[in-house]
Amino acid sequence: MGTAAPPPGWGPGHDSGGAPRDPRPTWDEVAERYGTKVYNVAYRLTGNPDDAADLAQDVFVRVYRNLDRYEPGTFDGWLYRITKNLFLDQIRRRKRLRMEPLSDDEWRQPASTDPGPADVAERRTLEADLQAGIAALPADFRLAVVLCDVEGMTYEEIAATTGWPIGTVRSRIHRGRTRLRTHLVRARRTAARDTVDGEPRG
Amino acid sequence: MADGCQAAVPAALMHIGDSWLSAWVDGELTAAERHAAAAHLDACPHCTADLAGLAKVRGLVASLPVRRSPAGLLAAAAASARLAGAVGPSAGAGTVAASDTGPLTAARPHANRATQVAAGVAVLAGFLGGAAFTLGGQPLPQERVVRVPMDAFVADHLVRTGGGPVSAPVLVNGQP
Repeated sequence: MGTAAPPPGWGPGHDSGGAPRDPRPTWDEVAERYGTKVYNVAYRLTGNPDDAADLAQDVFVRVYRNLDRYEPGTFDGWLYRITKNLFLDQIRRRKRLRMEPLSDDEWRQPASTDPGPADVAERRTLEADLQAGIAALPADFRLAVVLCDVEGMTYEEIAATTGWPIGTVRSRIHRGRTRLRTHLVRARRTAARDTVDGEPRG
Repeated sequence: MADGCQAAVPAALMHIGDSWLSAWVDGELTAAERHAAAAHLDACPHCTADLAGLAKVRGLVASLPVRRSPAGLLAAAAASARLAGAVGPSAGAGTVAASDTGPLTAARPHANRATQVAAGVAVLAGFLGGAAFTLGGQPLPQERVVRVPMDAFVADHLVRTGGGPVSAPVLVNGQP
């Protein structure tokens, strides 16, 4: 590490105790370290591949254009904050274009018509139900649940990324999860009703 | 407390409300809050069951498979940013010292140039053709990292145009 005092970072991990800050990465490093992560978060937030690709690309374009302006701080924090802001922008744009979210029925279709092994189909359906439940949450609850449970962020990190007070982080995570649980219970109940001995009816 | 709660509300948790349950699952309660919560859980089967349900949802979300982007998404983003006029990160930015113990690995040497250029043409053609983002509902195979020779392109561009607007590069046999 350099011997000069580090400049004030504008990432949320600003550490007055002098802990190492992330140096500015090269674009290749961004691609390698964050390429998959950003798309995965975008996918979990938006619930579908097209919106995920749009969001991920928007994030990468912004990072590309502003990488030279990144001051040593917490690169993760900077990147997540960009992701959150662009996600909320996308939500606002989509609201103007699409009045209804995808229905649960659309999501319950298996990803392919090939039946495959039963447990694989079961897992895909569970993933679809779960993702539909996440997509049905209001944007703020979705952010809370994805940042906490998909990205494994602490409440403090989520608060720094989103700008919400800790109490709000905690309550949005809780309300997001309880709604998600209700959604899953209903979805599984419907799925059970629609099958006979594990096979689809009729 | 939650509907159906069967024991007294601990004073230490009053200010949090129901979300103490999720905070417990996430290990985000203070020692005092945790102590009060443990005592309450011992006396309240309802909250204990509630807690199990929340932990399960958390576990399910946490074990969702990682979804992979279409190949070339990052390179297409860089291309898109340049088409819109961005110069992009400078070539030498963020060189990591060998002794640096930060979280990022040192930059790797670029792949063979001919391969890079060929890959760059393919990526840009895909982006311009709009075919890059058509996807089914399936998880995608392992992402292929496509390296685009951006530094060389930017340098060429600046020499040729004196910093004018960026147009899509046309490369024939790897040469502009």
